[in-house]
Amino acid sequence: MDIFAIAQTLPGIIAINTAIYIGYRVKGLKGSIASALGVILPSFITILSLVWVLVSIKDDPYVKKAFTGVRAGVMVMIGISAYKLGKNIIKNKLSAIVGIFSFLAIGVADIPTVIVLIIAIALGCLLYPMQILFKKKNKTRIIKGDEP
Amino acid sequence: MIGLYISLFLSFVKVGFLGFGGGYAIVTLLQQELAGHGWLSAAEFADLVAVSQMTPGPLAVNAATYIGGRLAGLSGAVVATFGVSIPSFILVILVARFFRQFNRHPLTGSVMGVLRPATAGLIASAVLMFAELSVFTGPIPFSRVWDLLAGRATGTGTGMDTAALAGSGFGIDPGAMLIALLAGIGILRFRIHPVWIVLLSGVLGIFLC
Repeated sequence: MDIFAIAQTLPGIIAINTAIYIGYRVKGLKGSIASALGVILPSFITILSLVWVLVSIKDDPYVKKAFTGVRAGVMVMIGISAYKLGKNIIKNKLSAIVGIFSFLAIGVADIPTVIVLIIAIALGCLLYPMQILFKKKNKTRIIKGDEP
Repeated sequence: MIGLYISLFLSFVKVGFLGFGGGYAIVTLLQQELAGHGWLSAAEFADLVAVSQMTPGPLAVNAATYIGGRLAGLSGAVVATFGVSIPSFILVILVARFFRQFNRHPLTGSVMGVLRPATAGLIASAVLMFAELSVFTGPIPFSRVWDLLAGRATGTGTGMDTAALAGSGFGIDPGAMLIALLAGIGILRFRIHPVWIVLLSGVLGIFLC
Protein backbone atom coordinates (compact mmCIF):
# COMPACT_ATOMS: atom_id res chain seq x y z
CA MET A 1 0.00 0.00 0.00
CA ASP A 2 3.07 2.08 -0.37
CA ILE A 3 1.80 2.81 -3.84
CA PHE A 4 -1.11 4.96 -2.79
CA ALA A 5 0.91 6.79 -0.22
CA ILE A 6 3.54 7.64 -2.76
CA ALA A 7 1.02 8.58 -5.42
CA GLN A 8 -0.67 10.91 -2.99
CA THR A 9 2.46 12.51 -1.69
CA LEU A 10 4.00 13.17 -5.04
CA PRO A 11 2.76 16.11 -6.99
CA GLY A 12 0.96 15.34 -10.18
CA ILE A 13 -2.33 13.72 -10.78
CA ILE A 14 -2.96 10.91 -8.35
CA ALA A 15 -4.70 8.64 -10.82
CA ILE A 16 -1.92 8.95 -13.34
CA ASN A 17 0.78 8.60 -10.71
CA THR A 18 -0.76 5.39 -9.48
CA ALA A 19 -1.16 4.00 -12.97
CA ILE A 20 2.40 4.85 -13.92
CA TYR A 21 3.81 3.41 -10.75
CA ILE A 22 1.98 0.14 -11.06
CA GLY A 23 2.72 -0.09 -14.75
CA TYR A 24 6.36 0.58 -14.13
CA ARG A 25 6.64 -2.07 -11.46
CA VAL A 26 4.93 -4.62 -13.66
CA LYS A 27 6.51 -3.95 -17.02
CA GLY A 28 8.97 -1.07 -16.82
CA LEU A 29 8.63 1.99 -18.97
CA LYS A 30 6.38 0.34 -21.52
CA GLY A 31 4.09 -0.77 -18.74
CA SER A 32 3.89 2.68 -17.30
CA ILE A 33 3.01 4.16 -20.67
CA ALA A 34 0.34 1.55 -21.22
CA SER A 35 -1.32 2.13 -17.90
CA ALA A 36 -1.09 5.88 -18.19
CA LEU A 37 -2.84 5.65 -21.54
CA GLY A 38 -5.44 3.49 -19.90
CA VAL A 39 -6.24 6.25 -17.49
CA ILE A 40 -5.98 9.08 -19.94
CA LEU A 41 -7.62 7.81 -23.10
CA PRO A 42 -11.24 7.40 -21.90
CA SER A 43 -11.13 10.89 -20.54
CA PHE A 44 -9.43 12.25 -23.62
CA ILE A 45 -11.88 10.74 -26.04
CA THR A 46 -14.94 11.71 -24.01
CA ILE A 47 -13.95 15.31 -23.59
CA LEU A 48 -12.74 15.71 -27.12
CA SER A 49 -16.13 14.64 -28.38
CA LEU A 50 -17.79 17.07 -26.02
CA VAL A 51 -15.74 20.14 -26.93
CA TRP A 52 -17.78 20.89 -29.99
CA VAL A 53 -21.05 20.35 -28.13
CA LEU A 54 -20.08 22.53 -25.20
CA VAL A 55 -18.81 25.34 -27.35
CA SER A 56 -21.94 25.45 -29.42
CA ILE A 57 -24.38 25.46 -26.53
CA LYS A 58 -22.58 27.66 -24.07
CA ASP A 59 -24.12 30.92 -25.19
CA ASP A 60 -27.69 29.74 -25.10
CA PRO A 61 -29.55 31.67 -22.34
CA TYR A 62 -31.14 28.54 -20.89
CA VAL A 63 -27.82 26.78 -20.85
CA LYS A 64 -26.36 29.76 -19.02
CA LYS A 65 -29.06 29.50 -16.39
CA ALA A 66 -28.52 25.79 -16.09
CA PHE A 67 -24.81 26.28 -15.65
CA THR A 68 -25.31 28.92 -13.01
CA GLY A 69 -27.26 26.35 -11.06
CA VAL A 70 -24.59 23.76 -11.74
CA ARG A 71 -21.90 26.06 -10.41
CA ALA A 72 -23.86 26.53 -7.23
CA GLY A 73 -24.02 22.77 -6.83
CA VAL A 74 -20.33 22.30 -7.59
CA MET A 75 -19.50 25.07 -5.13
CA VAL A 76 -21.19 23.07 -2.42
CA MET A 77 -19.42 19.89 -3.49
CA ILE A 78 -16.05 21.57 -3.31
CA GLY A 79 -16.94 23.14 0.00
CA ILE A 80 -17.86 19.83 1.54
CA SER A 81 -14.72 18.27 0.13
CA ALA A 82 -12.61 21.07 1.61
CA TYR A 83 -14.36 20.71 4.94
CA LYS A 84 -13.81 16.96 5.11
CA LEU A 85 -10.21 17.38 4.10
CA GLY A 86 -9.76 20.08 6.70
CA LYS A 87 -11.22 17.90 9.41
CA ASN A 88 -8.81 15.11 8.57
CA ILE A 89 -5.75 17.21 8.12
CA ILE A 90 -5.93 20.11 10.50
CA LYS A 91 -4.91 18.72 13.82
CA ASN A 92 -2.93 21.46 15.46
CA LYS A 93 -2.47 25.18 15.49
CA LEU A 94 0.22 25.24 12.85
CA SER A 95 -1.85 23.38 10.31
CA ALA A 96 -4.86 25.54 11.09
CA ILE A 97 -2.80 28.66 10.51
CA VAL A 98 -1.36 27.30 7.28
CA GLY A 99 -4.80 26.33 6.07
CA ILE A 100 -6.41 29.65 6.87
CA PHE A 101 -3.48 31.56 5.49
CA SER A 102 -3.49 29.76 2.16
CA PHE A 103 -7.25 30.18 1.91
CA LEU A 104 -6.98 33.94 2.47
CA ALA A 105 -3.91 34.33 0.30
CA ILE A 106 -5.42 32.63 -2.72
CA GLY A 107 -9.10 33.33 -2.24
CA VAL A 108 -9.01 36.88 -0.97
CA ALA A 109 -5.65 38.35 -1.79
CA ASP A 110 -5.41 36.67 -5.21
CA ILE A 111 -1.85 35.60 -4.63
CA PRO A 112 -0.85 33.10 -7.30
CA THR A 113 -1.28 29.54 -6.14
CA VAL A 114 2.25 28.67 -7.27
CA ILE A 115 3.68 31.14 -4.81
CA VAL A 116 1.62 29.88 -1.92
CA LEU A 117 2.67 26.31 -2.69
CA ILE A 118 6.32 27.28 -2.90
CA ILE A 119 6.08 29.05 0.43
CA ALA A 120 4.43 25.99 1.94
CA ILE A 121 7.16 23.71 0.65
CA ALA A 122 9.85 26.09 1.88
CA LEU A 123 8.20 26.22 5.28
CA GLY A 124 8.08 22.46 5.36
CA CYS A 125 11.76 22.27 4.55
CA LEU A 126 12.54 24.78 7.27
CA LEU A 127 10.56 22.82 9.79
CA TYR A 128 12.51 19.67 9.10
CA PRO A 129 15.58 20.55 11.19
CA MET A 130 13.29 21.89 13.88
CA GLN A 131 11.48 18.58 13.93
CA ILE A 132 14.70 16.81 14.74
CA LEU A 133 15.38 19.16 17.61
CA PHE A 134 11.87 18.76 18.88
CA LYS A 135 12.11 15.00 18.75
CA LYS A 136 15.23 15.06 20.87
CA LYS A 137 13.39 17.12 23.43
CA ASN A 138 10.61 14.58 23.38
CA LYS A 139 12.96 11.70 23.99
CA THR A 140 14.32 13.19 27.16
CA ARG A 141 10.81 13.87 28.30
CA ILE A 142 9.85 10.28 27.83
CA ILE A 143 12.73 9.15 29.92
CA LYS A 144 11.95 11.65 32.60
CA GLY A 145 8.30 10.85 32.49
CA ASP A 146 8.71 7.40 33.95
CA GLU A 147 7.45 8.53 37.28
CA PRO A 148 4.33 7.42 39.09
CA MET B 1 1.06 29.21 -33.93
CA ILE B 2 3.86 27.07 -32.59
CA GLY B 3 4.05 29.57 -29.76
CA LEU B 4 0.57 28.57 -28.71
CA TYR B 5 1.53 24.92 -28.56
CA ILE B 6 4.56 25.74 -26.50
CA SER B 7 2.61 27.83 -24.01
CA LEU B 8 -0.09 25.21 -23.81
CA PHE B 9 2.48 22.54 -23.16
CA LEU B 10 4.38 24.54 -20.57
CA SER B 11 1.27 25.67 -18.74
CA PHE B 12 0.03 22.16 -18.40
CA VAL B 13 3.38 20.80 -17.37
CA LYS B 14 3.29 23.42 -14.64
CA VAL B 15 -0.16 22.26 -13.59
CA GLY B 16 1.00 18.66 -13.71
CA PHE B 17 3.90 19.39 -11.39
CA LEU B 18 1.95 21.40 -8.89
CA GLY B 19 -1.16 19.34 -8.58
CA PHE B 20 -0.64 18.20 -5.03
CA GLY B 21 -3.51 16.40 -3.46
CA GLY B 22 -5.31 15.76 -6.69
CA GLY B 23 -8.92 16.50 -7.45
CA TYR B 24 -10.01 20.05 -6.78
CA ALA B 25 -6.57 21.20 -5.68
CA ILE B 26 -5.70 22.31 -9.17
CA VAL B 27 -8.81 24.41 -9.68
CA THR B 28 -7.38 27.72 -8.54
CA LEU B 29 -4.00 26.99 -10.09
CA LEU B 30 -5.51 26.24 -13.44
CA GLN B 31 -7.90 29.16 -13.26
CA GLN B 32 -5.02 31.56 -12.69
CA GLU B 33 -3.08 30.04 -15.58
CA LEU B 34 -6.04 30.42 -17.87
CA ALA B 35 -6.76 33.97 -16.76
CA GLY B 36 -3.10 34.84 -17.22
CA HIS B 37 -3.14 33.69 -20.82
CA GLY B 38 -6.69 34.75 -21.50
CA TRP B 39 -7.56 31.32 -22.81
CA LEU B 40 -10.86 30.69 -21.12
CA SER B 41 -13.30 32.80 -19.18
CA ALA B 42 -13.83 32.05 -15.50
CA ALA B 43 -17.38 30.97 -16.24
CA GLU B 44 -16.37 28.58 -18.99
CA PHE B 45 -13.69 27.11 -16.78
CA ALA B 46 -16.14 26.65 -13.92
CA ASP B 47 -18.48 24.87 -16.31
CA LEU B 48 -15.63 22.63 -17.41
CA VAL B 49 -14.98 21.64 -13.82
CA ALA B 50 -18.64 20.83 -13.48
CA VAL B 51 -18.77 18.73 -16.64
CA SER B 52 -15.64 16.98 -15.47
CA GLN B 53 -17.61 15.65 -12.52
CA MET B 54 -19.67 13.66 -14.93
CA THR B 55 -16.97 12.40 -17.25
CA PRO B 56 -14.37 9.74 -16.58
CA GLY B 57 -10.87 10.71 -15.75
CA PRO B 58 -9.13 13.19 -13.52
CA LEU B 59 -10.05 16.86 -13.70
CA ALA B 60 -6.58 17.86 -14.84
CA VAL B 61 -6.70 15.57 -17.85
CA ASN B 62 -10.21 16.67 -18.75
CA ALA B 63 -9.14 20.29 -18.50
CA ALA B 64 -6.05 19.74 -20.60
CA THR B 65 -8.00 17.98 -23.31
CA TYR B 66 -10.77 20.55 -23.36
CA ILE B 67 -8.58 23.63 -23.31
CA GLY B 68 -6.06 22.23 -25.75
CA GLY B 69 -8.90 21.16 -27.99
CA ARG B 70 -10.60 24.53 -27.75
CA LEU B 71 -7.49 26.43 -28.62
CA ALA B 72 -5.89 24.23 -31.22
CA GLY B 73 -8.06 21.28 -32.12
CA LEU B 74 -6.91 17.71 -31.79
CA SER B 75 -3.24 18.54 -31.81
CA GLY B 76 -3.77 21.09 -29.07
CA ALA B 77 -5.58 18.54 -26.97
CA VAL B 78 -2.76 16.04 -27.45
CA VAL B 79 -0.08 18.57 -26.58
CA ALA B 80 -1.85 19.77 -23.46
CA THR B 81 -2.74 16.30 -22.22
CA PHE B 82 0.78 15.10 -22.88
CA GLY B 83 2.08 18.10 -20.96
CA VAL B 84 -0.04 17.43 -17.92
CA SER B 85 1.02 13.77 -17.78
CA ILE B 86 4.77 14.22 -18.22
CA PRO B 87 5.46 15.39 -14.64
CA SER B 88 3.80 12.24 -13.33
CA PHE B 89 6.10 10.11 -15.43
CA ILE B 90 9.20 11.95 -14.39
CA LEU B 91 8.39 12.01 -10.70
CA VAL B 92 7.02 8.52 -10.32
CA ILE B 93 9.78 6.85 -12.26
CA LEU B 94 12.42 8.83 -10.40
CA VAL B 95 10.96 7.74 -7.11
CA ALA B 96 10.46 4.16 -8.22
CA ARG B 97 14.06 3.87 -9.40
CA PHE B 98 16.01 5.92 -6.94
CA PHE B 99 14.01 7.13 -4.05
CA ARG B 100 11.98 4.21 -2.81
CA GLN B 101 12.33 5.44 0.71
CA PHE B 102 11.14 8.89 -0.32
CA ASN B 103 7.87 8.37 1.39
CA ARG B 104 9.36 7.54 4.74
CA HIS B 105 11.93 10.28 4.75
CA PRO B 106 11.21 12.76 7.53
CA LEU B 107 11.80 15.73 5.22
CA THR B 108 8.94 14.51 3.08
CA GLY B 109 6.89 14.22 6.24
CA SER B 110 7.47 17.77 7.31
CA VAL B 111 6.89 19.20 3.85
CA MET B 112 3.68 17.22 3.58
CA GLY B 113 2.75 18.42 7.02
CA VAL B 114 2.63 21.94 5.65
CA LEU B 115 1.43 21.14 2.15
CA ARG B 116 -1.62 19.18 3.20
CA PRO B 117 -3.28 21.93 5.22
CA ALA B 118 -2.25 24.40 2.51
CA THR B 119 -4.06 22.20 0.01
CA ALA B 120 -7.14 22.23 2.19
CA GLY B 121 -7.05 26.02 2.23
CA LEU B 122 -6.46 26.02 -1.49
CA ILE B 123 -9.50 23.87 -2.15
CA ALA B 124 -11.55 26.06 0.13
CA SER B 125 -10.58 29.08 -1.93
CA ALA B 126 -12.04 27.37 -4.98
CA VAL B 127 -15.37 27.64 -3.16
CA LEU B 128 -15.08 31.41 -3.34
CA MET B 129 -14.32 31.25 -7.02
CA PHE B 130 -17.47 29.25 -7.67
CA ALA B 131 -19.49 31.39 -5.33
CA GLU B 132 -18.60 34.47 -7.34
CA LEU B 133 -19.96 32.75 -10.42
CA SER B 134 -23.19 31.45 -9.00
CA VAL B 135 -24.71 32.57 -5.72
CA PHE B 136 -23.07 35.97 -5.94
CA THR B 137 -23.45 37.96 -9.10
CA GLY B 138 -19.88 39.14 -9.27
CA PRO B 139 -16.53 39.15 -7.54
CA ILE B 140 -16.76 39.55 -3.80
CA PRO B 141 -15.61 43.08 -3.02
CA PHE B 142 -13.35 42.21 -0.14
CA SER B 143 -11.87 45.66 0.17
CA ARG B 144 -15.30 47.17 0.58
CA VAL B 145 -16.31 44.53 3.08
CA TRP B 146 -13.19 45.38 5.01
CA ASP B 147 -13.97 49.10 4.91
CA LEU B 148 -17.50 48.39 5.94
CA LEU B 149 -16.41 46.38 8.93
CA ALA B 150 -13.67 48.81 9.84
CA GLY B 151 -16.02 51.77 9.54
CA ARG B 152 -18.59 50.19 11.78
CA ALA B 153 -16.02 49.00 14.26
CA THR B 154 -14.51 52.43 14.77
CA GLY B 155 -17.96 53.85 15.10
CA THR B 156 -17.48 56.33 12.29
CA GLY B 157 -19.75 54.65 9.77
CA THR B 158 -19.23 57.56 7.43
CA GLY B 159 -21.09 56.85 4.23
CA MET B 160 -19.78 53.29 3.96
CA ASP B 161 -23.00 51.39 4.11
CA THR B 162 -24.47 48.39 2.38
CA ALA B 163 -25.54 50.51 -0.56
CA ALA B 164 -21.89 50.97 -1.40
CA LEU B 165 -21.53 47.22 -1.60
CA ALA B 166 -24.43 47.04 -4.01
CA GLY B 167 -22.91 49.74 -6.17
CA SER B 168 -20.01 47.49 -7.04
CA GLY B 169 -22.20 45.14 -9.09
CA PHE B 170 -22.21 42.64 -6.29
CA GLY B 171 -25.43 40.96 -5.34
CA ILE B 172 -26.98 37.67 -4.50
CA ASP B 173 -28.73 35.28 -6.80
CA PRO B 174 -31.46 33.77 -4.66
CA GLY B 175 -32.15 30.93 -7.06
CA ALA B 176 -28.54 29.84 -6.97
CA MET B 177 -28.54 30.14 -3.19
CA LEU B 178 -31.50 27.83 -3.03
CA ILE B 179 -29.81 25.34 -5.33
CA ALA B 180 -26.71 25.48 -3.17
CA LEU B 181 -28.79 24.79 -0.11
CA LEU B 182 -30.54 21.88 -1.75
CA ALA B 183 -27.26 20.51 -3.02
CA GLY B 184 -25.87 20.65 0.48
CA ILE B 185 -28.80 18.76 1.87
CA GLY B 186 -28.64 16.30 -0.98
CA ILE B 187 -25.01 15.48 -0.39
CA LEU B 188 -24.90 15.53 3.37
CA ARG B 189 -28.23 14.04 4.26
CA PHE B 190 -29.07 11.89 1.26
CA ARG B 191 -25.61 11.04 -0.03
CA ILE B 192 -26.60 11.83 -3.58
CA HIS B 193 -23.88 11.06 -6.09
CA PRO B 194 -22.00 14.01 -7.63
CA VAL B 195 -23.25 13.20 -11.10
CA TRP B 196 -26.85 13.63 -9.97
CA ILE B 197 -26.04 16.75 -8.04
CA VAL B 198 -24.62 18.32 -11.17
CA LEU B 199 -27.56 17.25 -13.32
CA LEU B 200 -30.22 18.30 -10.87
CA SER B 201 -28.51 21.61 -10.15
CA GLY B 202 -28.52 22.25 -13.85
CA VAL B 203 -32.18 21.46 -14.27
CA LEU B 204 -33.11 23.59 -11.29
CA GLY B 205 -30.88 26.31 -12.63
CA ILE B 206 -33.01 26.65 -15.72
CA PHE B 207 -36.04 27.45 -13.59
CA LEU B 208 -34.53 29.24 -10.65
CA CYS B 209 -31.60 31.30 -11.91
